[in-house]
Amino acid sequence: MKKLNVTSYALRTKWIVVLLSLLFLLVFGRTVNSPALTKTAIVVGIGVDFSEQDRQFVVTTQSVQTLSNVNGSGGQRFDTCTCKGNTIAATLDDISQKMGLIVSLAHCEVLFMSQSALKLDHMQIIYPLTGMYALREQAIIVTGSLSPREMLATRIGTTASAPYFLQTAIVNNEGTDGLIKTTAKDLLARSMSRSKATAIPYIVPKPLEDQPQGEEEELKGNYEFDMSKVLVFDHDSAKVVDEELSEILSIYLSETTYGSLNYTAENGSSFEFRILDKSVKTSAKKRTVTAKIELKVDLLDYQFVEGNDVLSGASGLIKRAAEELADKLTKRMQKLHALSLETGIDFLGLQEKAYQSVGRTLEEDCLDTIEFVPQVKITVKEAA
Amino acid sequence: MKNVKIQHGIYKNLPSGTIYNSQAGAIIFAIGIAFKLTAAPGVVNQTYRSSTLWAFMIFAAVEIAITAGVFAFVRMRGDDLLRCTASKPYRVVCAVAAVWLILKGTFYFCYCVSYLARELFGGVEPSLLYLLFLFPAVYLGVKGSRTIARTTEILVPVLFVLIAFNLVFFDTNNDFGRNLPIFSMEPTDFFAQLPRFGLWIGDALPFAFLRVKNKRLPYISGSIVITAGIVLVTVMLGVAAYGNSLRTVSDLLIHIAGFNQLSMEIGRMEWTNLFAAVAMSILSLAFVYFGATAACDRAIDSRMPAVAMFPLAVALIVAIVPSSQSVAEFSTREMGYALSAVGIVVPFFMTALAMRAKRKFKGIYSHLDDEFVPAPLPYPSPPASVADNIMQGYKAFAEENFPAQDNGALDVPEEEK
Repeated sequence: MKKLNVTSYALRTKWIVVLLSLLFLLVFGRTVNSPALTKTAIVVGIGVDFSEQDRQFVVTTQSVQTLSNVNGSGGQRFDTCTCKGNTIAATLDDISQKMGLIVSLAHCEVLFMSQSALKLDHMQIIYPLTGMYALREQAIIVTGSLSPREMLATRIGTTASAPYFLQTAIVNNEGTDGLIKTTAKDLLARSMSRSKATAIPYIVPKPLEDQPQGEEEELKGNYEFDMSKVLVFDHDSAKVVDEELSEILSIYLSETTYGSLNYTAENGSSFEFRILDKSVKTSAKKRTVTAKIELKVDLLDYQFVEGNDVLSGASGLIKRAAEELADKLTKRMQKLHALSLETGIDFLGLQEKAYQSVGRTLEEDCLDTIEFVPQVKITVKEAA
Repeated sequence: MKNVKIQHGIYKNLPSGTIYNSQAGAIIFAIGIAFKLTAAPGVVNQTYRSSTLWAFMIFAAVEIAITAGVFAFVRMRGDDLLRCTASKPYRVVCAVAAVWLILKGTFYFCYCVSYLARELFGGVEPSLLYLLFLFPAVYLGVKGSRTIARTTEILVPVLFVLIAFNLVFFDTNNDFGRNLPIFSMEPTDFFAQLPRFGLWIGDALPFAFLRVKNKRLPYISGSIVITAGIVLVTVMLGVAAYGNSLRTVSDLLIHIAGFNQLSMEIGRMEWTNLFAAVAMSILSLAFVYFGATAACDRAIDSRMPAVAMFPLAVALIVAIVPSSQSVAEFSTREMGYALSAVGIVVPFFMTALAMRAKRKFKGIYSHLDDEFVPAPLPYPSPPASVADNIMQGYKAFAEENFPAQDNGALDVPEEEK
C-alpha cells in the first residue's frame, strides 16, 4: 500500500470534509437562534392598517397555539395581538415582546390590508414581510369593510379563525363570485406595472342570522363573510365593485376559475352553468386591447322553463341561453371598462398590455387613449 | 492514458491538471446556475425591467462565445504550448487573468454571501457566513481541479434533478407578455448598460488552465446548451411571474422553487433549490479560486500569491466594508465595465497567442505530448507497489532476478506470473 506522510493523510478529502461538517455544525449550533416550536408564535393571518392621523402602522397578527392537557387531549387556540409603530418591523417586534414569543410568518397565508395601507408604496409594505419575516409570496391579499384588526378577530360560524376560512374559501372558489386570488407577488407585479392597479376581494362581515348551537346554549357572536365584492385600486383611489360586475372581473383576472354562472332570461327561466374550463387571452395591437374570454360550461340546473322536455347541453334552448349569457358578460366587461375610465383606475391592465405592444414610447397615464374590445364566448359541453 | 477503474468507479489515473469532459460539463452547469440564476436576474431587472430576458440572451450569447474561445484554446493545448515555448505575452495575460479572477472571486463571494444571508440565515452575523463559505471554497481551490471536478460531478446530477423538478411543477399567475417590449429604454442605452454586468461574464476562463480528456458523449456542448436553456427559461418565467417587481427578488432560483405546485400539499419547497444554490455557489467559488491560482502559477511560476490573496481580500472586506451587498453593488458600477473588458479580451487574446504559437512552433506542437513523458532513468528501480498483494520477501527476490524496464515495471517472465 502506498505510504503517506502525516500531512498528506490529514489533508485527505474525507477528513477535511468531516472536519468542515463538524465546524459547520458547531458554529451554527452555537450561534444560530433557531427557536423551539413552543417559543414561536405561528402566525396564520396578519393585518396591516395605517393610521393617517399619526402616520403609524397598526399591525395585527393572529397566531395559532396548540394546547395539550394532562390527560392527553389537545386543542387549538387563536390569539390576536395588535401593536402600533412607525414601521411594520417595529410593530412585529412589539407583538413579539407582547406575546413573549418569536413571531413567524412562514405559515401565514392571508394578509388583510386596510384601504389606507393600500395607498402606500406596496413594495415597502410587502418586501419586509416576504424578505425579512418569510411571509410566503403566495399569501392572499384581502381587504374589507372593517379594519384588519376587527376582521382578524371575527369569529366565523364554521371555524374559529377568519384567515383559515378565507384561505380555504378563496383557493376553493377562485374565479367566481368576486373571489380573486391576488397574492403578495401578484400585488407587487401589478402595482409596479404600467397599469399600477389591481383588484382584491372586498369582504363584508355580517352577523349570522342563525347562530350555531353548542352543547348547552347558542354560541353567540359568529359572523359570515360576504365575499361577493371586489376592491379595485391604485395608489390614488379605490372603488368597490358590486357583485354583478365582480363575477366577470374575477373570471378575467383569476388564474383558475371554479364555481358556476347563473343566467335568468327575460321570461323568468333560470339556468345554472358549471364552469369546466376557461381561457383568457388578452392581446394588444398598438392601442387596441382585445380580451377573449372563452368559457366551457356544463348545464347544472334549470328552473321555470316551459314544457316537459328534459334539457341537455345539446338543446337549442340551452345553447341560446349560453349565447345570451355570453352577451350579458360582454356587456359587463364593457361596463367595467367604463368604470375604469370613470375612476381612472386601470384594473383591467390595459396600459400594461398597450405598453407591451406600443413599447417605451407609450406615455404614462394614457388609459383614456386605449380602446378595449371584450369578447366572451361560452360553449356548453357535457361533463364526464 | 488508459482508463483504469479502481474502487467505486472513480478514475484515478488522470494526470494532474486534466479532467474529463463530463466533469467539465458538470462545472459549467454549476457556475452557470449558481452565479447567473441567483441574484443576477433581480439586479439586471433594476436596470432593464421588461428587457431583462433579452439582456440575458445577449449575456448568454457572449458567454457561449467566450466559452467556445476558451475550449478552442484548451483543445489546441494552448496552455501547454505557450508554457513550453516560454511565451512572455502569455505570462502577462495570465497575470492579468489572475488579478481579474481574484477580483471576480472576491466579488462573487460577497454576492453569494449577500443573497444567502437574506434567504437563509436571517439574523446571523455576516462574518460567520464569510468564514463558513471561505473554508470549503479555499480548501477545494487549493486541492485543485481534480477535487473540484469530482465533487461537482457527484453533486451536479442531483442538483440538476432538483432544479428541473421545481421548473416542471412551477405554477403561478404568469403573464409572458411582461417580457415585452424588447427595448424598455433607448437601444443605445440598452447596449451601453450591458457591460456594467461584466461580473457574470467569462466564468469559464479557468478551464484554459486545464486539459480536458473526452469521453464519448459531447458533455461540454450539451451542458452549455442545457445550462443556457435553464437560465433563459427561468429568467423568462421570473419576469412573467414578477414583472418589474423581480428587482425585489434576492434569489430567483430559490423563489422559483416556492411556486412548486406540490408545496400546497407537502409544504414549502424553497429548501430544495436553496440546497442547490449553496452547494453550487461553493463549488463555483472554488473553481474561480482555482483559476486564479493556476493563472498566477503561469504568470510567476508560483501559486502562492493567488492562494493567499483571495482569502486575504475576503478577510479585508469583512474587516473594513460594512456589508457584502455594497461590494456586490460596486462590481456592477464602473468596475463592471473593467470586468467585462478583461473577461472578453483575455480568452480571445490567449486563443490568438496559442494559434500564433501553433504556427510558429509546429515542431514543438506536434511533440507536445512528449513533454509529459518522463525521461527513462539510467538505473530504474521497481516501484514500491510491486510488493503489494504478494508474498513477503518476494520483492527482494524479484529485484534480484528480474530486470527493470524503462518505465519502472519489472520484466517478469510469463511462467513466473
